[in-house]
This record gives sequence, structure tokens and C-alpha cells, in this order.
Amino acid sequence: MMDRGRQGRRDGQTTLQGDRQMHERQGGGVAEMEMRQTPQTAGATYYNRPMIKKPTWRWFIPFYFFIGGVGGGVALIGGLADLIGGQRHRATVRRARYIALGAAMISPLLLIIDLGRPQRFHHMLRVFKASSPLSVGTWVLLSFGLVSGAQAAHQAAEDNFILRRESWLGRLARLLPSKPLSLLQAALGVGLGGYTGILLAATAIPLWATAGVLLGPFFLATTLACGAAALALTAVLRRGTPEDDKARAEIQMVATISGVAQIGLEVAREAMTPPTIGKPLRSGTWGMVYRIGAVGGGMLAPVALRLPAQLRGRPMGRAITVAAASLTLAGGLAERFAIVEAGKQSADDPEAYQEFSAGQPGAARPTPQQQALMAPKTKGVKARVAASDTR
Amino acid sequence: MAECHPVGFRFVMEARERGAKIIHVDPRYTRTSANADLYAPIRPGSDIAFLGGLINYVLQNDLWFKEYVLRYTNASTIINSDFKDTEDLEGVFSGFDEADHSYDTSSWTYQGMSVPTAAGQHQAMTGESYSHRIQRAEEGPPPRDETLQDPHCVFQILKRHFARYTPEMVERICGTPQDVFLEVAKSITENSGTDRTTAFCYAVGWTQHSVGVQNIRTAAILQLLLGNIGRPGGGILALRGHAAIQGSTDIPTLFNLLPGYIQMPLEANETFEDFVHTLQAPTGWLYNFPKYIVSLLKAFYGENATRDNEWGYQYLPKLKQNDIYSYFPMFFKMMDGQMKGLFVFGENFAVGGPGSRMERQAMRKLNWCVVRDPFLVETAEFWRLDDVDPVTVDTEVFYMPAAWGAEKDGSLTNTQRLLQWHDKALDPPGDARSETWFMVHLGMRLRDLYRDSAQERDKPLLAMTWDYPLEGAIQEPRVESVAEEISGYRVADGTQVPGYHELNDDGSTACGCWIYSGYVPEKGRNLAASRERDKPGEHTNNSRWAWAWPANRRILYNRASADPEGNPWSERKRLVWWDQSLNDGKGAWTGYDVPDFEVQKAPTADAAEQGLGMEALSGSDPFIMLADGRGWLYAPHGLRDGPLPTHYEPLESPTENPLYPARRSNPCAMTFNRPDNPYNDNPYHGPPNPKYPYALTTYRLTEHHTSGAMSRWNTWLSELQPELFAEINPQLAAEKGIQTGDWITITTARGQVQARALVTDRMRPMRIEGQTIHVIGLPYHWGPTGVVTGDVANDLIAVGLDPNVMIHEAKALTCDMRKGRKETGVAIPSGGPHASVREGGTIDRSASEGAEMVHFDRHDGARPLTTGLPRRQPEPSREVAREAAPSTSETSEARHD
Amino acid sequence: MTKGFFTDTTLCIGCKACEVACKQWNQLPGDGYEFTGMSYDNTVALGSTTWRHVAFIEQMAGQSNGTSNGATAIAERVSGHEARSAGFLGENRWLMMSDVCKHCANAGCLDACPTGAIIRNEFGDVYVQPDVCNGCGYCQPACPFGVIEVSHDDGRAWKCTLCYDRQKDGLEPACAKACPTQSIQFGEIEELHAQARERVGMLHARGVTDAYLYGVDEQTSVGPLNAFFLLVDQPEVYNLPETPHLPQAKIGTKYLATALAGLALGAATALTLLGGRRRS
Ligand SMILES: Nc1nc2c(c(=O)[nH]1)N[C@H]1C(S)=C(S)[C@@H](COP(=O)(O)OP(=O)(O)OC[C@H]3O[C@@H](n4cnc5c(=O)[nH]c(N)nc54)[C@H](O)[C@@H]3O)O[C@H]1N2
Ligand SMILES: Nc1nc2c(c(=O)[nH]1)N[C@H]1C(S)=C(S)[C@@H](COP(=O)(O)OP(=O)(O)OC[C@H]3O[C@@H](n4cnc5c(=O)[nH]c(N)nc54)[C@H](O)[C@@H]3O)O[C@H]1N2
Ligand code: SF4
Ligand code: SF4
Ligand code: SF4
Ligand code: SF4
Ligand code: SF4
Ligand SMILES: [Mo]
Repeated sequence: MMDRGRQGRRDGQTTLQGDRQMHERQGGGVAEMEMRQTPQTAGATYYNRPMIKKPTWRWFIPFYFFIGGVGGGVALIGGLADLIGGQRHRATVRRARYIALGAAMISPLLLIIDLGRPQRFHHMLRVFKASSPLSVGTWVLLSFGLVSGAQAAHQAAEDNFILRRESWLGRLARLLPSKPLSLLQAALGVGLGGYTGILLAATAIPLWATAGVLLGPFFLATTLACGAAALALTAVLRRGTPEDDKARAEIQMVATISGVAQIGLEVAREAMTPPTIGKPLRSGTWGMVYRIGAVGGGMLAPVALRLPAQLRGRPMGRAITVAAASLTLAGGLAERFAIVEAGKQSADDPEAYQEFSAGQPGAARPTPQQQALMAPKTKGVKARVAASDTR
Repeated sequence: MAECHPVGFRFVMEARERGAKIIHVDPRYTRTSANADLYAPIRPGSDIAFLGGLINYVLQNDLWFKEYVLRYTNASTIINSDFKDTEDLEGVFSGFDEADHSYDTSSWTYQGMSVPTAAGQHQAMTGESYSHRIQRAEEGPPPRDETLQDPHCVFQILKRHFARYTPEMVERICGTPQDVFLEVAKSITENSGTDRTTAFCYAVGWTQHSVGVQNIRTAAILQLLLGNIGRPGGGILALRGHAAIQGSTDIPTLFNLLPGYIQMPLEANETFEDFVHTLQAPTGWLYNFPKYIVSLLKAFYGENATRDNEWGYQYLPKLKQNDIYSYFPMFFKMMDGQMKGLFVFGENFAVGGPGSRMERQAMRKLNWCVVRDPFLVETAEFWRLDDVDPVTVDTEVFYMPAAWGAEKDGSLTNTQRLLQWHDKALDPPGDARSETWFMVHLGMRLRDLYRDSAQERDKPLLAMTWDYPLEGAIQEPRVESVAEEISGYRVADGTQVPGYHELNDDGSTACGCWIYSGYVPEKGRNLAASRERDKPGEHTNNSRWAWAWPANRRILYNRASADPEGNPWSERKRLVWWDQSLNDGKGAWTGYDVPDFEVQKAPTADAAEQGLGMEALSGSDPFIMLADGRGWLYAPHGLRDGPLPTHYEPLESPTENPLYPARRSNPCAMTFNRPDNPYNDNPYHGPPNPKYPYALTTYRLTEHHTSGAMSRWNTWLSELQPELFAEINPQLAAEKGIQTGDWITITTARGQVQARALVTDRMRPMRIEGQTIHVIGLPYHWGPTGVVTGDVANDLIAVGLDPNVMIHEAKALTCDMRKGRKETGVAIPSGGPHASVREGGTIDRSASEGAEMVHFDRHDGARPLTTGLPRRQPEPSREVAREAAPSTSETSEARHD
Repeated sequence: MTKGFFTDTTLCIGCKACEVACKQWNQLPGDGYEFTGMSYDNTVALGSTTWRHVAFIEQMAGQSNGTSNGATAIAERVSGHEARSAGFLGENRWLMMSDVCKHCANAGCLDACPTGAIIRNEFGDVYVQPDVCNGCGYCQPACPFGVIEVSHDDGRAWKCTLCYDRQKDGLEPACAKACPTQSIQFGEIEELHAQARERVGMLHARGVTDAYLYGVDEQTSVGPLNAFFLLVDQPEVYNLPETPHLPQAKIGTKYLATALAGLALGAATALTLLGGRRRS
């Protein structure tokens, strides 16, 4: 009980204990740690301490990445379906509009809860900054929310659902230009689904920033896959006409296309990520969640499940539809969590950050010798230490 | 120095940047070593061997500063032929009394004459007076042999004495590799001479030893041989401790000194005349002694000090021969019931005092004690520490909150003898009062109580002048009036004297401390408060920046910065010189500093054959405080443990003394062989006790202050060094399977202490006499209360003292060490219960039958106790704090810029 | 007129006065009381409550378990002993370095901040406005130096203000003021650059040939650092990145790639949906 020193501080970053935990996390056993005899600059890290700070985000954020993603995905599909999907996709459009509104309503809540100062959430609206994906994303989410609200209202009025068709509000809602708004909503859906990837990529965290250019597209692909999965899953609930089946098949196809895109982008991302940096997504708990859950279960399995039927042009069994859609959604969720959590681990790993920030020695910065040559010639060799406090 | 005097160290850094070579000699590689050019490891307690080795190097290689040594030191003086060196007597000098562990020093004197010292405990401890003894110095200068050939001359004695201190011997004793030692020797000698000087800085790494004084003596000998005393860039600089610790030796809080290094009278000094006779040096500056003591007594007793009543001399308490009320013996007196009450002003020895467990126990034997401190320190809480049942403690404790430095006006005297005045920034809160307030009001109340007493013993109390003006709501004494009294005034009209030259022995002047005389030369003109630098191109050693005692002199004995003819030794080292053109062609001393010499005494002036006082010194005798005007390579008087330093092992040592197998430790060291103060082995000559195989040294960290009373309550400091740790080398750690962060337990005969291990290569195993000695380093800042707590390192230390100044040996002892926590488990009392007291309760009767704690509060909540804001801080407090902070900082800012 | 810091680690004595002065001036809470065993560093890193942090790195000759220190400075004077002595940045080194927010010319935290709480003030320094910050925490992973941090207790992001308040009143920052050895020098960045370059030359002339400036002449996306350093070992030794990257440096490409991906996936989706209609 006098052992206060062992209590964690700053998320366990700073304790001997924390050091040990971190060491274990990074694959080194306690035994290896014990061998660290003296507190020295073993290797060239600063006592194996993190060089950068991981985000403070709690589970709300990866969950939002997922929810927002689903919303963005359905919005993209729903919007396009409204524009070009014809009558067959009316139900798709309707569901998409409602789901999008749902996502647009939950998302800000998740984001606001996670703020250090939630009552100041509106400060986000003080500025728009292209350099900050979070700022861009805020405006995208806001617009998405408004458009989704409008579209959902329009839909509700048409459906005579909650909003009475002939009430003045209902009339007003029906007056909204739903086609242009569908285009907008689809575009905002892309924004919503993609910006989160950029958000992660535009940080100093090695795992995210390496191959960062792929993270937006990758997130977007998952978004679309999840959107399609959500629509497919909800479509399954009703016994439909052949038209409905067709629409469902098309949506399944979108899911497969985005699934393939996901797989392609994942392969590229892996290829671009060096082992030290990619470690947390390859091993450890989150590595397993990612590999088995996100990639295996969420990308490969659904594609594998759907593809036989789709290649043969046959309608897909309900069980397979449900299984594939659920796997995609679960995989999407796993992917968001795994990437965020593995990113935190990568932030804590000084070796990963060193690898990430390694330059060609001397490439960015003149060497000591070059600097000495560049130094202006001086008369003396002294620095003023004691007598310089004349300021 | 970087660790403990970081602000002073900036000048070292500046010097390094200007090309000076910095050498650090320390058992541990510290922050100082990290910034030094050369680091020499040394085993704790072996500095005399190291410095002696340097002396031998200088003598053997003929590197001493010839003219300086010949003219300015006592190298040529002939010593009594009865004198026998330690080299002759296997570890003791002539005159040793085995039973008493002391010397009869009569054989150590100059041939045929006894020579008084400027200051020292010798007289107080031996009762010897100089002038009563054999021959008087005014009968002529001591016999000398200017050729330095006489076997009895100091130079030859010195040479023989240190001949065995070879680089090999240094390595054997100190563990310092020979080539490192030789590099140090080369650097120092190359950097000394007419054109260059070397300075030595030391602090308690040298003093806290059973040979503490002799450590400094060894450095003094070396510096005299190299001509580095009294010259710019030279000297031996004591880096003192607390903010005004220098001040509290000048105007002492010591049992055996009066202000200005005047010794306390002994019972044997029955009359004032006896007393003066004992202390007045017949030759040299201290011939003026009567002026200073009479002026002091005039300041003490005013009108009640007249020639007829011996200037009130009889009011002074007198010490009994050999009855020592020094700090450590005091505790044994408490232990034995001879001391009933105690005032503690700003000291926390329950943690900071070596032998602290014994000291806490001793306090429990007191009837009462008063602790004045801004913090509720462990010293005020001894009654509940060590798991004692407060009911069993009968001591009545008065805790009085003290005002902080910023809450009072006054001066601090720093390490370079600079008096710096500071102004009060704010009033003390609640019941907190300054020391001046407390003493003045206590004095007033006591005088009131005894107003009508006719008892002889109460007379001193009633006779003293006690009329300091009181000001303001809390009736704070005007400290300026104290300053004026210290600086001195003319009794007739109350005008200030300009300096000690104008003090008289006829009762016409009063002066509270002669060496401080002149710092308030006129009422309202306080030179300690001046803050003016030299203008560019001006050379006065920043003489208008505060005021240095004595006489605003920045470098003592600066007459030695000029050659015997009065010219600077070199242009580069010009400081004070004789200028014949001054004083209407009669010449005078002048320069960049206030000359430490009679200003009009020409360098060529001869000593008067039978003169008194300064007349007995010639124009080229710079060391005017010494009776012969010469720097003492050999100290014929004033030291209890020998006229020359010689290497002894610490009282507790892991090894034998290779120089004197029969005399391991200082034979004069003051030890206390008592059950409450056990030693690890026989302190004088036992063989090392294998039970305690490691050398242990204690020290400070930059992040904390001494007993931690002022830093362990401070969040910002405590987080920087939160736990007691011990520094051990990797080899020892590997042997014991210890890693950084593990608990280890260190044990001595006094007890055990648990600490975290800090395994570091900055500690290295040392090879001593072919044997590996591990040194364990233990900072001593932790104690049982505070925002961070830990075991008390001083619980490990025995009381064993230097015989001259009674300083403890906290820097070198032996111990055992093992992995794991101490046996008793968590026996450290927690910081808990006192919290209620702090919240403002006046009397804590939690221990109602036993110890009673009368507690006065500062009424400012946690203010002095934790400076940092609590970790979880509500938003408003941040803003409020931010608003409050700039105003105070701004004031200090303005002053610094 | 940009104001900044030149922190010269060869003058640092590790006294931590800067750390304490900063905490005092800014009334920052403590980080907790914990022995880390990391030499004399118990506050570990910069963070929301530690805006100056002094790092301690022990590099002793013949270190039992360390790498060689890479010091080519003042050549080995003393050899073949268990305890060596060569001093000032020679073969025994105990490096001390007072770290602080770099006030990057291109600051990741600033670019990332979605509320505009982080601004570049009139002194050219990167300043977090506490009344604007809503604690979104995005600046934290966007700093390539791991400086800015959201406080657990207070919910907002904090870091060195470069004593904006003091500067406004014409005072130098508290840490620089407290530094006894001028290891921290505050001033006009151009002047500091000149001074620092000169210092590198001096040190090399004195044999400290490892000395170099970090954050002055490099070609990195974060640009010159308004708080730059003179170091004598690899940046990693001090927990600094060899080549810091501005996280937003290539953000345009990322937007573009995502937009293209959006187009592609959108087109594919549209085709899928459209194809269905044609066939029907
Ligand atoms: N930050 C800070 N500053 C302080 C203080 C503080 O507590 N904290 N205290 C003040 C006080 S009261 C004082 S007295 C001074 C003391 O100032 P210092 O004397 O500098 O303090 P210490 O750390 O006790 O001891 C100094 C060094 O002596 C070394 N040493 C131990 N034994 C020996 C030996 O036998 N020979 C040699 N050569 N060295 C040895 C120790 O390893 C240590 O590094 O500091 C003052 N300044
Ligand atoms: N083992 C070991 N022991 C040592 C040493 C060592 O090196 N090793 N060093 C020794 C040395 S050199 C010293 S100086 C001692 C120091 O030991 P102490 O003097 O006992 O320790 P401090 O903690 O400095 O205590 C000073 C007290 O004064 C209080 N104080 C501060 N300002 C004021 C004021 O204005 N008025 C009043 N009334 N109180 C005030 C502080 O709160 C604090 O409690 O320790 C000694 N003990
Ligand atoms: S505490 Fe005061 S006396 Fe000690 S180094 Fe700091 S400024 Fe100097
Ligand atoms: S160091 Fe980090 S916190 Fe400081 S300005 Fe640069 S990016 Fe921002
Ligand atoms: S936490 Fe505050 S300062 Fe940091 S990005 Fe968010 S709003 Fe800006
Ligand atoms: S500039 Fe001010 S805020 Fe920044 S580290 Fe220095 S003292 Fe702290
Ligand atoms: S105040 Fe200066 S010398 Fe002290 S640790 Fe900070 S930078 Fe180093
Ligand atoms: Mo001290």
C-alpha cells in the first residue's frame, strides 16, 4: 500500500509497470524486459517511451466511424438509386433515407460525447478548414444531417409516416427538391464515408499515416460495403416481388464490388506498410480482430459467400444474404475498432515512429560537420552564460 | 555544485565557456560531473589522501609558487624540535593522550613561541589562552630559515609528511585511477602561478567527515603552495547551505561563539580582563579585539555596560570547560534528562539530523519544546512518529507557524559573504510571525515577567537593551533598527559608524557584529540593499551590488594579489596594488577591491621588532588575521587533531588505513559509545566489519531541499523526485539480482531503510587495496510526512564527529544492503492524522493524556503546505490563480532585471 | 517578428528550474508521484500538465548494457580503467535536454484543429485559446513531436503558450528566465538562428564535433522550428523524430484519392443499379 509508485499514471505510459505492459504488448515478454539492467538509452529510444501521443478517443469514435460509415454508404446507394434506380428501388430509397437520418442523428451524439468539453461542440462551427479533415468532416456531417433530415422528411411525408402527408409540414416537405437533394446526399455520403480515413491518415500516427493515401478510399469502400449490407439486410425482412428481389440482388452486387475494392485496397495498404509499423494490425489482440474479424470475416467471407450465386446469376438464398450482410457489417465494425486501437498501439511504439520518421541520414538536415562548416566564424569561443541576463 | 548550487554554477559554466577547465572530484558522477571537463572518482572519506597527493606532486616536482610561498606563508618558520609527525609516530602527532583521545599541543608551536589563531574552538575546548603561554609573539617574529633547508622548518616537515602520498598511494586509498589523478595534478599546477589561478569549491562532501576541518586544511595548504589565495580566480570557496547559513555563523546560532567569531567566555575567564587577555592577539589585526568586544557589549547592554561593571561582561553566560552544547551532544543531554526544554527555529532534524531516530527519541524526553516553522514538520510531530503511543510521551509541544522569507524584511548573507537585503512582499498570514517578532516579543514578555526580580540570575535579562521600535497592526519590530545596531553607532549621538575602524574600546561605540560594521553607514542608507553593477569598463568587483563583510571587501587577504613589492603578480591577475603616486606621493594601496591591508602601509615597511598589533607585521605580510601575518601551511595552533592533515579512514570504513595500520581513523574524533548510538565497528581502530561491507554516502538532489520539509509538501518539486532511492552500480546490482525500481533495504547498526534501486553506471565499483568496494549513494530528503514520503536516511547514521567543529560524518559510513523491503514491512508512519490539525484546529488533543500539541495556524489553509494546485482542478481556480500569479512574479521580475 | 527558443543542451545542467518555473507561472498541477527509474527523469514526457520537460540520458563509457555513445568529441583522454573520467561531452556523458513545444512553422496541431482554437499569434507562436478549445483531441495525434495533450481532468488541450501572456507584457518566458545557465535562450528567431549557428562552430572548434542544430536548416514539411535545439546525439536519443512530417502535408492527395475512389465506387454502384434497369 506504500507502493503508490506502481500505480498507473497517464494511461500507464509512465510507470515501470506501464513500461512492462507496453513491452509485452509489443511482443516482448517480461523476461526480456527484466534483462534491461540499467535505465539507459538502450537502442536509441528514450527509455522505450512513446515519441508521440495517441488520441484520447474512447469507443464512441470508432463506433461513430462505423455508424457514420453505414449512414454514408446507404446515402450513396439510396441517392443513386433515387436518381437512376427507378421504381424498383423505391423501397431501397425509402430505407436508405430513414437509415441515413438515423445515422446522421446518432453520429453527432457519439462525437459530442467524446469531446473533452461537450458543451462547446458548436465551436466546431466557428471555422471551416480544409487542412483539418475533422473540420471538413464536421461540415460534411452537418450538411449530411440537414440533407438527410430533409430527405427523410420528404420520404415520411410521402409515406404518410409520422409526418402526415397533407399537413402543412407534410406539404412543405414534399415540396423539397428531392432529386437534387439525392445527388447531394450521395455526394455527402461519399464525404462522410471517406473523410474519416483521411482524418486518421492526416496524423503523425505511423500506422495511419503510412499508406495514408489509401485510408480514405479504404474507409470509403468499407462504408459502401456496410451501406449495401445494411440495405440488403433490411430488405431481407420483407417478402417482396421479383422486382424487389432484383433490387436486392443489385444491392448485393454493390456490396460485392465494394468488398472486392476493400480487399484490393487492404492488400495495397499491407504492401505499403513496413513490418515495424504494421505490427499492431498483424499480431496481438487487435491484429487478430483485424485479420480474422475485419479482413477474413468482413471482406473475404461475404464476398466468398455471395460470389457463387452472383457469378451464376442466381438469386441468393436468404440465409446467405443475411450471413454475408451481417459479416460485412460486423467486419466493418471490427475494422474501425481495430484500426483505431492498433493506431494507438503504433503511436505508443517508438520504433514504429522512428521507422516512420526516419529520413536518409543527412538528407533533411545538414550533418554536424556540414553545420560546422556553415557556421559563421567567430572571434571567441564562448557563450554568454552568467552575464547575459540584461533583458 | 550543479546539483546544490545551480544558480552559482552558472558562473562555473560561464568560466567553462571562457576556457576554464572544470574538474569534479566526487564518488558519484553527478550533474556537476556531466558539465565538467574532467571527472575524478574518489572513495568517500579519502580526500586528504587525494589532496595530499596533489601537495606531494607539487612539492616533488618543484611546482610551488616560490616567491609567494617564501614571503607569504610560514614555510620557512622553524617548528619546535620536540614536534613529531604522524610519519614518525605511526599515525599520531607528538603529545597524544591515548586515554583522552586528545593532544597536548605544546610541542606543535613555532620554536619557542605560541601563536594565536584568528578563530577556532581551541580555546573554548582547552581553556588555553595564547598570551598566558610561554613566549609572546610580540617579542619578535618567529625564527625562520629562508633557505628552507632546516629540517625543522615547515617546508621540510611538509615535504616529509606528504612524501608517501604518491599517485600509487592515492589510487590505493581513493580508488582514483593514477592517470586521472595525474591529469588533475597537471591541470591544477599548470593553471597556477603569476598569470593563472585555480579555485577550489567545496561543500559538505568535504566537511561532513570526522576529518572535516583537516580536509579543508589540506586544500588550504595546496592553495598556499600554488599561490592561489588572496588572488582573483583563486581561493577555497565554501559553498554554503541554507540561504543565510553564512549569516548564522557570522552572527552565530552556535553555543560557543558570539557575533563576529568572538569566542564565548569560559568559566575560567573570571574577569573581563582575563577574557580579553585570552583572546586578544598580541600581533596582527586581532590586537584590536578589545574594541570589538566592548562595542558588542555596549550593543548588548547599552547604558548598563560601563567600565565599572566590566562592560557588562558578567551578564554573559560562561561555558564550562569541555562542556559541549553543540548540536549532537545536546541530544545526548536530552536523552539523559539533562536538558528539559528546546526551541527549534527552522530546523527539521527529526529527518535532517544524522542519527535522526535517536534524536526523535531524545525529544520525547523533553518537558517542552517549541517548534517555529512554516510547515508542520516532523520535528514537531516526533510524538507520534516511530509508532510510539503518544500517550507515553510527556513532552508538551508548541508549534508556532513561522513567516516565510517573502513575508519579512531582512538580509541574507550568502556564500560569498554578501549581505543582500530583501523586502517583505506580503504580510504573514494568520498567527505566522517572523523570527524577529517572536524573539523581540518573547524578550519583552520575559522582561515584563521578571521586571521586579532582584535575583542575580535575572539581571542579564533586565540589563539588555531591548527597545526595538514596533510597527503596524502586528507590532512587527523594525528590522532596520536591528541592522543599524549590528552595523554600529556612536553612543553619544546615535549616529552610525562607517566601519569597524572607528570602533573603540572605551564604550563610545556600540556594534552588534564588528565584521558587519559599516553596512548601514548612515541611518536609512542600507548598503545591503544596493543593487548596482559595474558600468562597462569599470572594475570594482561590482562593489555596489549589496555589501560584503568585512568592509565590503570581495576577496579576503587580497594584499597577496600583489607581489611583495606591491605590484600585481601579472597584468592578467591584477586586483590590488601599491600606487606610490597616491596620498601626496606617500603612496597607498588601491585597486579593484577594498585592500585587505593598512591602506597606507608601504610594501617595503618592515615589521617593528617588538611591535604590537599591525606594527608587528611588515608591508608584505598579507595574512593580517594571523598573528605572524603569514599563511599557515602548518597550523601551530587552533586544531585539536594535528597541525597537519593526515589521512585517516572514516570512523566506519570498509577498509584499513594503508598509511597507518594501527590508526585507522582520526584518533581525536568525537565519538559517543552508547547503546542509543551504536557503531558498525570500533570507530578508532577496529578492523572493518564484514557485516557491513559497502561504503555508503548521503547527499542532496537539486529537486529537494535538505530534510525535505520545504520540498516534500510542494507538488512541483515532489513530482520531480517522488521517492527515496539509492544509487547502486550495475555490478553490485547484478550480484544481488537487483533492477532499477526494485525495493532494496540498507542496514547499519542503527537501523534499516528501504529505498528504490536506481541502477546506474554513474556509480562505479572502486578498487581499493586490491579489493572491490561498492559505494551506495542515498539522498536524504525523505521523511514520514508530506505529499511524498519515504524512509529517513539519517536513521542509518551514527553520531561521530570532527573534533574541531563537531560536524557529523554523514558522507562516509558502512552498511549492508539486500534486495527487498525492510523486515518490519511498512513501518513508515503515514502522512494521515495531522491533516486535521492543519485544517485550522488550534489544539489537537487526539493524544490527550500524553503529548499535547498546541498548534497555531497560519490561517491560510493549504497555502504553505502545497504550492501546486490539486491535480483535479476546477476551472475557476485556474483562472483565479492565473490572475493572482503575475502580480507577485512581476515584483520579483522587476527586481531582477 | 517571430519569437522563439534556442535550447542549447550543452549548457543544460538538468536543474529542472525551467520545468518548475513553467508550472508555477502557468499554475499547472503535478503529474503524480512516481519513481520511474529513468535516470533523474520522473515526469517522463511533455503533456497537458508538463510544458517543459527535462530529459536525462546516461551514456557512460563502458556502459554495461548500452550502446556506445557515438561521441567523437574530446578524444578519449583516459583509458583502460574501470572508472573513466573524460569530461565535458567526452566519453562520459549524461545528456540533459529541456524539451518544449516546437512552435513549428507548419504546425500539425494548428492545421488539425477544427475549432480554430489553435492560432498563430502575433509573436509567430502556436497558441491554444483555452476559451475556444472543445477538447476534440484531434490536435494530439496530429503533433509530430507528441507535445500537445488533452487533459484528462480539464478536457481541453494544453501545451506551452510560449508565455504569450508574459510576452505581451514584454517579459521573457518564465522557463527562460529561470534557466540559470542560458541553456534556454529566448528571442527573435533570426537572431537566435545566427547565435546558434555560431555556437555550433564554436563547439566544433572546441572538439565537440557531435554538436548540431535540430530544427533550423532542415528540409522537412514542418518547416523551421520556432523552438529549436542544439544536440550532440541522434534526435531519437532525445525522443525527437529524425525527420518530422507535417501530417497534413499531403492532405490534398488524400482528398483527391478519396474523391476519385468515391467517383469510382459511385460509378460502379450507379452502373450496377442502372444495369439492372436496362435489363429489366
Ligand atoms: N537543491 C538543493 N540545494 C541545496 C541543498 C539542498 O538540499 N537541495 N542544501 C543546501 C545545503 S544546507 C548545503 S550544506 C549545500 C550542500 O551542498 P553539497 O555539498 O554540494 O551537497 P551534497 O549533495 O550533500 O554533497 C555533495 C557531494 O559530495 C559527494 N561526496 C560524498 N562523500 C564525499 C567525499 O568523501 N569526498 C568528496 N570529494 N565528495 C564526496 C557526494 O557524492 C555529493 O555529490 O547545498 C545547499 N543547496
Ligand atoms: N545524512 C545527511 N544528513 C545531513 C546532511 C547530509 O549531507 N547528509 N546535511 C546536513 C546539512 S549541511 C544541513 S544544513 C542539515 C539541514 O537540516 P535541517 O536544517 O534540519 O533541514 P531543513 O529541511 O532545511 O529545515 C529547515 C526548516 O526551516 C523552515 N523554514 C524555512 N524558512 C523559515 C523561516 O523563515 N523561519 C522559520 N522559523 N523556519 C523556516 C523550513 O520549513 C524547514 O522546516 O541537514 C544535515 N543533515
Ligand atoms: S536555491 Fe537560492 S541559493 Fe540555492 S541555488 Fe537556487 S538561487 Fe541559489
Ligand atoms: S510541436 Fe506539436 S504542439 Fe507544438 S506547434 Fe508543433 S505540432 Fe503543435
Ligand atoms: S482539442 Fe482543442 S485545440 Fe485540439 S484540435 Fe480540438 S479544439 Fe483544437
Ligand atoms: S514558454 Fe512559458 S509556457 Fe512555454 S515552457 Fe516556457 S514557461 Fe512554460
Ligand atoms: S533551467 Fe536550464 S539548465 Fe536547468 S534544466 Fe532547464 S534548461 Fe537545463
Ligand atoms: Mo547545510
